[in-house]
Amino acid sequence: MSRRFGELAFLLLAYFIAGKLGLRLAFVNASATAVWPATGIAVGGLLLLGRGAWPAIFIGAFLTNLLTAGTTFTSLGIAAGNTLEGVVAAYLIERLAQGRRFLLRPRDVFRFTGIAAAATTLSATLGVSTLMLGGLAAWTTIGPIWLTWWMGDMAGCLLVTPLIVSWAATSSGEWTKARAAEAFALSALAAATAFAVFGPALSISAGSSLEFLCFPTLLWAAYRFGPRATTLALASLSAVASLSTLHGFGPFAGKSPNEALLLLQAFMIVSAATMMSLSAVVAAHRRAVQDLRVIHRQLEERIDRRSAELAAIVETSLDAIIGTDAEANIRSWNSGAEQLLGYALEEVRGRSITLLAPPGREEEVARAFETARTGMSEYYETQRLCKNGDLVDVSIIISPVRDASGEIKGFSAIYRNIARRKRAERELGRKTEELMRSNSELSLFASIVSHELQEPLRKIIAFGDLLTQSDSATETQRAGYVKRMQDASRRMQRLIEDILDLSRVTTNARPVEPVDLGEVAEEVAADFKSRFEHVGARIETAALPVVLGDPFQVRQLFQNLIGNALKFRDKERPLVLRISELARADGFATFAFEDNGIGFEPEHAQRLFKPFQRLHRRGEFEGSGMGLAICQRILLRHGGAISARGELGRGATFEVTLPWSEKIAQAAAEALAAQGKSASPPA
Amino acid sequence: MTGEKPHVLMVDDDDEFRMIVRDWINHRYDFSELPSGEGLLEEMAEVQPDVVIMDVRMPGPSGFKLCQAMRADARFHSVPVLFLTASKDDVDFVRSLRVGGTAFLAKPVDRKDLLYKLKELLLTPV
Repeated sequence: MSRRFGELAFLLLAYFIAGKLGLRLAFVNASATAVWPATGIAVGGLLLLGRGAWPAIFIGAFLTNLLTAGTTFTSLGIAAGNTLEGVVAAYLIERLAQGRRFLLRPRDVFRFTGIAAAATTLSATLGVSTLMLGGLAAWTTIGPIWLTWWMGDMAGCLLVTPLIVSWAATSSGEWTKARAAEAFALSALAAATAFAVFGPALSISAGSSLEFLCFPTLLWAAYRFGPRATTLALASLSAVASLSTLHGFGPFAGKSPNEALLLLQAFMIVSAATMMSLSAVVAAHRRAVQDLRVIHRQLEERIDRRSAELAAIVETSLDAIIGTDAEANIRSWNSGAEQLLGYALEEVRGRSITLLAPPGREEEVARAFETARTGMSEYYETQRLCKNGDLVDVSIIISPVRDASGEIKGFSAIYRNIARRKRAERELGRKTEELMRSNSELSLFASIVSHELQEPLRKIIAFGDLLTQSDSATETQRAGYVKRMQDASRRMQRLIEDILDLSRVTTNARPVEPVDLGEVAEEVAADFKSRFEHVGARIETAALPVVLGDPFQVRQLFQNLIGNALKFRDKERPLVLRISELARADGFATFAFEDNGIGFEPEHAQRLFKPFQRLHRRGEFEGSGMGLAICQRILLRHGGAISARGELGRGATFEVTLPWSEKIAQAAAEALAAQGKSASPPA
Repeated sequence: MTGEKPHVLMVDDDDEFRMIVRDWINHRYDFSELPSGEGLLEEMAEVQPDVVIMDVRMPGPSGFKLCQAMRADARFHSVPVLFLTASKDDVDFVRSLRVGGTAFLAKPVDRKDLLYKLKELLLTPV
């Protein structure tokens, strides 16, 4: 509160002093002067302290006029006019010219000048009217009085307000030694020029128009030092020139004092307006340059950040990202490319990308780039060549890279390793094929099975019909039919059992372990002993190896083969069945079941193993035709094989291959020996 | 024709089925049988059948082949042949006609169908 009071008091005092001094030069009318810095103080003060400070102006103006010349009435009127001038000017400058900062833009300087002209016109008009109404001025002298009033106010405004406003703001310049030196030089020169032009030394006479010699230093101040220096230079010049002119020196002196002063003020007004706008241009330009620098720096930072982000994305990508120029020579190469293809950047930089083509397929790579050259991105799957000569399955996307004008200035190729996917696809394809094959096998099997089951079923129905419908059948015949039905039923049962046996080979599979084949042969032979003796058959077993297998299934295998030999024996001669080892190689052992039975025609060798395939009439030999099919499935499950050779009327030989290894055989033999059992010695 | 009743010769590897057919038709026809094509022509010369029932699927030469052999022999050129086929395939039908068969029935064979077919074949003038 007291600070505000102090400010207002200061303003009032400043105004009063300026006003009093100014009115000492009131030549035309006691109340009108060509030198009126008070307006400048008023406008500047209201801009700095706010329009609410107007009472200080009003009181100051009133006292100034009252204590110099004039009645209470005229003093009040003039005070009102002066206050109004200040308030109006300050308001308009705030509204239209950025207020205190009007010196920073040329546009605002021009507006300030215009506003000053309008406000001072208002003041001059009101003031002169008041004088007239108050009887202190004659109608005929209105013109010169008005002009004097107006020019005094205008000059005061243009010289003092900018000075106040620019020096009230904080300095933005940096002072180096050089700059200080320059400022000193400028001041010296300005002073020298001013004194030379306006001073008594050179006796410059009126009308010589040499006042414009002051311009260079003003320009220097405006261009190099900005608004503060410019306003100071202008005010200083004005002071010096005014004093000189009053004393009759300089280019404006010679006429009546008032006229001289008016000419001087005219010159000062124009100079001030010009120089301030120039300094505003310079200031604006400087600001723009600085802003540009800041923006430029921010943009560069942003670009750097962005580039780093993008580079990081490229570098950390697991895909190979390769950049080339427009001729498909390699320009950039990320770590993904290094990993995938084996080359480091230095090894491939500048080389053509056809370097990566599989041998003989360079054309393909070149063609891929042709498509990209037309502007379209291309996706496809193919192989590429690594540094170490391996081929790798990849998916490739090639895209053109354009510059700002849309021209293609290079390409980007992204490779992704699809070996795993390809492998999975191949695996899937294989599994699908397997599945399809298995399915068709299954449906074939199902139709054969149903066909096979139909036969005994039909018999049951047929004999059943005969039983019920045939009146002429005898008891013996009837008994015969019943027996046939029973046989057929048992046949169906056996068939179903055999089918289940076949499926159990895979579903009931036990883990594989060492199996002594010699032992198995002996055990099974023992099972068949009575039947063999009954028909005079003989079985000879040579040494058999220890193999890896499912003991239960191996036993089943022997049972089927020995049983078959017995079934298909030649009734003309005693059966001799020889089981012996044939060979050992590559992790497998092969042994043979050789008999002298009825044999078979060689062309049927494959058919033997198909389920239900008969080489003989139905019913001629017992069994459902599944025995060998079961054997084959057992061998398949063990990773082995079974095949048949034969000659019709001479006999058949079945060759069986099962997995065998030296190590296992040794270990098993040792284990058996440890158990105290005797084992077949390894051959 | 060697007796009052017409003579039927059946060639089929299924013993039981032959037995069944015999019981079906022997009140009306004389019946002889063969378990396979072996000795077919000799048997035919001996019994002089009026119609031959031939199973198609047999071990050894199939029914079709046997029929062809039969037709090649002038003596049996016009004896009606009734095929018993295991399926209703069109192929079998076409083939049975092509090899000189006269008619066919698909297994499983119905008693009534068989009797009716035989009657038909024997009524048709040769």
